[in-house]
Amino acid sequence: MFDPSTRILVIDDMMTMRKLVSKVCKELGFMDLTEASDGALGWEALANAKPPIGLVISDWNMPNCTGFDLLKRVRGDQRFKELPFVMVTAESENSQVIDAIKAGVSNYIIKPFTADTLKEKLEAVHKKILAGK
Amino acid sequence: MDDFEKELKVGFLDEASQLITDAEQCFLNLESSKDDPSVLEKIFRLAHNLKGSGKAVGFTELSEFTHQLESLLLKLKKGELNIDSEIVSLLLLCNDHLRLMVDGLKADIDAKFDSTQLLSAIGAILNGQAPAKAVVIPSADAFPEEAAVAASPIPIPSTQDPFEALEAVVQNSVEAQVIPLPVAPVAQVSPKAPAPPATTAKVAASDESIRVSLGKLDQLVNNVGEMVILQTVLNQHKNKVQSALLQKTITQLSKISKNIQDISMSLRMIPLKQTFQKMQRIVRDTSKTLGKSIELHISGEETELDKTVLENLGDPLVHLIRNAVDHGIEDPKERAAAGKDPVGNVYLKAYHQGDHIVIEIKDDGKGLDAKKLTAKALEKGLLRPGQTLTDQEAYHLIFAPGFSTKAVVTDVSGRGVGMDVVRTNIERLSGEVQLTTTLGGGTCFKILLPLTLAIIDGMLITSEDERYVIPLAQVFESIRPQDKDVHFVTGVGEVLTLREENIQVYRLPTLLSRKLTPKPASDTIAIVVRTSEKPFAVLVDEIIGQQQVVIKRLGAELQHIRGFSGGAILGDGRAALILDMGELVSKTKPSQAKTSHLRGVA
Repeated sequence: MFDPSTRILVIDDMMTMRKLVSKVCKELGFMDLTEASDGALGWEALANAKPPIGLVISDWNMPNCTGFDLLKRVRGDQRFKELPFVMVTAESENSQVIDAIKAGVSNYIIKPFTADTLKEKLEAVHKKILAGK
Repeated sequence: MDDFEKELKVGFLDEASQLITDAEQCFLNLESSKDDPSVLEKIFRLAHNLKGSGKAVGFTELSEFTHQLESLLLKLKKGELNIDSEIVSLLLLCNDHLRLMVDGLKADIDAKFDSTQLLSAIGAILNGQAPAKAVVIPSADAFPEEAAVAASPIPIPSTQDPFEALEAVVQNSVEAQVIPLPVAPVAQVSPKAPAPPATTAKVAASDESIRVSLGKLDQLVNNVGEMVILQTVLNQHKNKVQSALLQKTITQLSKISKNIQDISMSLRMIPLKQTFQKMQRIVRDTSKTLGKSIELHISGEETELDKTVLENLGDPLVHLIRNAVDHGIEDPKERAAAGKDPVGNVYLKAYHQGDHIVIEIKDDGKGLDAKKLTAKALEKGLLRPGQTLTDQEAYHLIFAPGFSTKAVVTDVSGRGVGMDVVRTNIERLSGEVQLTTTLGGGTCFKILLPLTLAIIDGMLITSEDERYVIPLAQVFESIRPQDKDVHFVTGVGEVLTLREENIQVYRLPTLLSRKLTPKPASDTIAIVVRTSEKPFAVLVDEIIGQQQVVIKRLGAELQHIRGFSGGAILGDGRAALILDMGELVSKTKPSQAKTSHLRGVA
């Protein structure tokens, strides 16, 4: 599993969801959480983060810059080619998952979700990273 | 329920209120911008957020209702349903219901609601008009990967992680340049193109804020006000200080004080946006009831106003808007007969003008008819027979208590509050209502409001050895009259001839019911006030100077005394009363002046 010191960036335009995701992350033992309220701000936070962000959990449907646009931007940047990027979607957006996979999303999760589900997903992502090395 | 859950729910409800307000605006825009996909996009996102987060925090009922609403929106988005006035009305009703639920949940977190009526209305549209290939509404629990896997013709080992399976499918398809169909049935549900890229990168997130009680803010503003006044005193005595360093420090301090003042004032400022949005709904509903077709044009909604001013502005604004729609704009037939576009226009504008914020309510309706107004006033006994009024005076009759220009009181405008209440409310905010009208061309009301209520520019004067502050905004000019310019006219009182204009004169001690030492006019200063429709002048002894003062309330015991807007502590630590000139003069007995019948009216 990811190290608890991994910096996690949580992006969602709903404060409620940011709080919820952060809370679940904290329950999983992560301590270093950063929040952003849309894709554009998320990018800013990601690009300027010191020490760097180790995992992004982003909503899809947001104003300014959607989670999908952010994902493409992230993957288009040499620094973030391998950055674990988990997309949070609602059930009605599932068709987009295909696009997200093509764009290089690490995994996705349907809201609402429990701590266990997120843990499973993160473990899957982590396993894949290890396998890739 | 643990603390976190509760906090989350409360936070969500606040957020939901904002979403609902935004959604209302979008719904209202729907009709006029049918071809703009971004409006529906935004509505969709709002509903989506409401549903998703609502569900996540456990408001199932709210979430399920929004889910149905979303299905309806989906139909609109796909073009399977036309956006017409009926649909927009239904959407607005749904939005109202959502607001009701959110407000209800705010009061009682376990509240239950009856949504059956609206749900069946939505259901009827969803089922009744649905085309043959009915829209599949996915059950909330159906995880797409499962759905996709279930529908997939490609066998996938059940032990494999569903994501990896899907990933594998996608990767194969990418290689083959063909996307297989496993997810197609689901895709049909939401063929959502990614939202258009941002046009403006809004960096400041609207929800990055903290809540502070208004009481604390007021304390801050009050103290800052005091600080600014002390700063003024300090500046005045700066030159008495020998040390150059101290002088420099005072100059710098004064700059910083000014900054702090500006910032602390801005803390109380709220944009007019929400208030203006409500007006859009009112115009829509009112014009529908009256069978009129009216467009509301809004501009300057980003203009900010003091919170207290804004709260008290709502009712007068609603009244003026309703008036414009009901009395101002003619019936479509009448308009057509007059050669006008049958669609009426109401303009709602806000902008800065000097120390004021101006809110303009303008219509292109029939305008006011001075003759009709005068006749009506006669009939109501507000005027004596034979009395003549200028057009401007006649227009101001509409501000008279109990004056209604429409013979039939409709349920739209006839709500018991008249224009007199509008005017009183605005004046209570230290504001002013101006009126211009063209017969056949329309009417324009201008509400002038001060930027803030807490600090005013005052003119410090003396009268009978007492010091008073007159708000500078009320002073049109001040002159030292010559004795020959002030005459006594029987039945009227003293009159000042100023540049060939005769102006009613009052002596301040008389207005304040204090002992009056007789003195020639040339020993006094005339303060000319033109904020009401009849100008007048008040004679005072001396003008000491101008300075900013913080208005202090007089306290509950003195609230009923008319003619004073409050008290102020001056630079030397002594107190002075702040005069409200218009109120002082209007409370004097009618026998004093010929113009008083009009003043009663106005």
